[in-house]
Amino acid sequence: MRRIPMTQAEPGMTLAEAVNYSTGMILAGAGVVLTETMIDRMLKAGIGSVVIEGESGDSDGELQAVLESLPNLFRHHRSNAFMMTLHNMLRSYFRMKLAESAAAAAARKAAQEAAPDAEGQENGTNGAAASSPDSGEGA
Amino acid sequence: MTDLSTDFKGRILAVESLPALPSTLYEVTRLMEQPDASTEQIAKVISYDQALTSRVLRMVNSPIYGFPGRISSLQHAIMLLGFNVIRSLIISTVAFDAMNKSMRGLWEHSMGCSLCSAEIARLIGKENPEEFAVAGLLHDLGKAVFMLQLPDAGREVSWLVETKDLPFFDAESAILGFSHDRINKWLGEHWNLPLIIREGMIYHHDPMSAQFYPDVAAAVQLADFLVRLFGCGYGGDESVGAVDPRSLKVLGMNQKSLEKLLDSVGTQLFSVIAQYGN
Ligand SMILES: [Fe+2]
Ligand SMILES: [Fe+2]
Repeated sequence: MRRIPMTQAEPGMTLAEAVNYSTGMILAGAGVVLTETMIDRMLKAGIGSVVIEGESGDSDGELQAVLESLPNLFRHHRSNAFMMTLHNMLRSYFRMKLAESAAAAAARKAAQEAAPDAEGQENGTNGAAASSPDSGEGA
Repeated sequence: MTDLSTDFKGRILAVESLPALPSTLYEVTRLMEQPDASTEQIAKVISYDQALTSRVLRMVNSPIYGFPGRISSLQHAIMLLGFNVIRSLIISTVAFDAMNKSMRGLWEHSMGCSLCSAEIARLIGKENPEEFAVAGLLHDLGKAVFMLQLPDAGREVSWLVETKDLPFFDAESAILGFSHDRINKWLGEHWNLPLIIREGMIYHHDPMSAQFYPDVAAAVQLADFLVRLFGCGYGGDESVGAVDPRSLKVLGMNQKSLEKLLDSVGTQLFSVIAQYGN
């Protein structure tokens, strides 16, 4: 679970913690799936953030979103040479970060596939069998 | 147009409807002006207002100010951050209410800008990142006050932003004849904010015009750009403002330090706001 600002709450997200009014009264309990109306009510009640289910910090998703938003964000500056340089620098930066993170994920995956052999020394055959279906390269 | 602008100015600054500062602030200001006032006395006066105290302590304990979770008392906060910052933070509680009432996401935008401003100050080795932080926090206060004081004109501005795809700043100029940077000037004077914070607020769209603190103004301009880049909160329109190349020069930044800044800001922005944003 993770805490996100109310402005990033979206319909379909599941609350991991109950949301209370400042009076202590419950607005929505844990496990409730957010709807547009609920989000509106929370914003009006001045709720600043909510704790939702799901992986914490999907930073790749965030980086990808920033990368994709660049042309739109810079739309007023197409004739500004400095801003276009900045735009291109940022595009390279976010692409590089995403590539680095993909490489790191691949390395983690490789390490995980190697791990069953290391931890299950007495029943190494089990480990190998478990890792083979989706890896394919172990065999 | 000038007559209309003067009229708008009067209505924005109409004191009776301007957000009221916490009464504690007057007492604090009075004490600060006395040469023999102690940190202890000032802390005591603030502590009578419990809601204010907890808000200020919560703010100063966010990673923005560089002492996350380590400031346990007001006295400690004043010692570490100084009177000016604490006083500005008390004023920022008004900003919090005004922003939340006037524009959804403006507070998150401001918190993000505050974090980025402080991060820039630390990156370039400034000794007072907390003052950069406060300037960043209050840089769009003029927008909030304008939207609250002149809701009809505010709706016209939002309408222009949406239908003509104008930046909020330009839409303000079109409707009012001036923008929130000018309103920041009036508010800063009216509330007697420290010059360094005022210049950051007033010149964040034109840092080179700042007479004393172009570095603070430049940092806020770049910080405003970064929060918009990362899509943190809402500053009135969905675009980035132009960064003046001279801002980077004033800050002594190049591509390498800019990338370093992106590294440190990108990972913190959302978690800090989620945790300390209210
Ligand atoms: Fe601005
Ligand atoms: Fe802004």
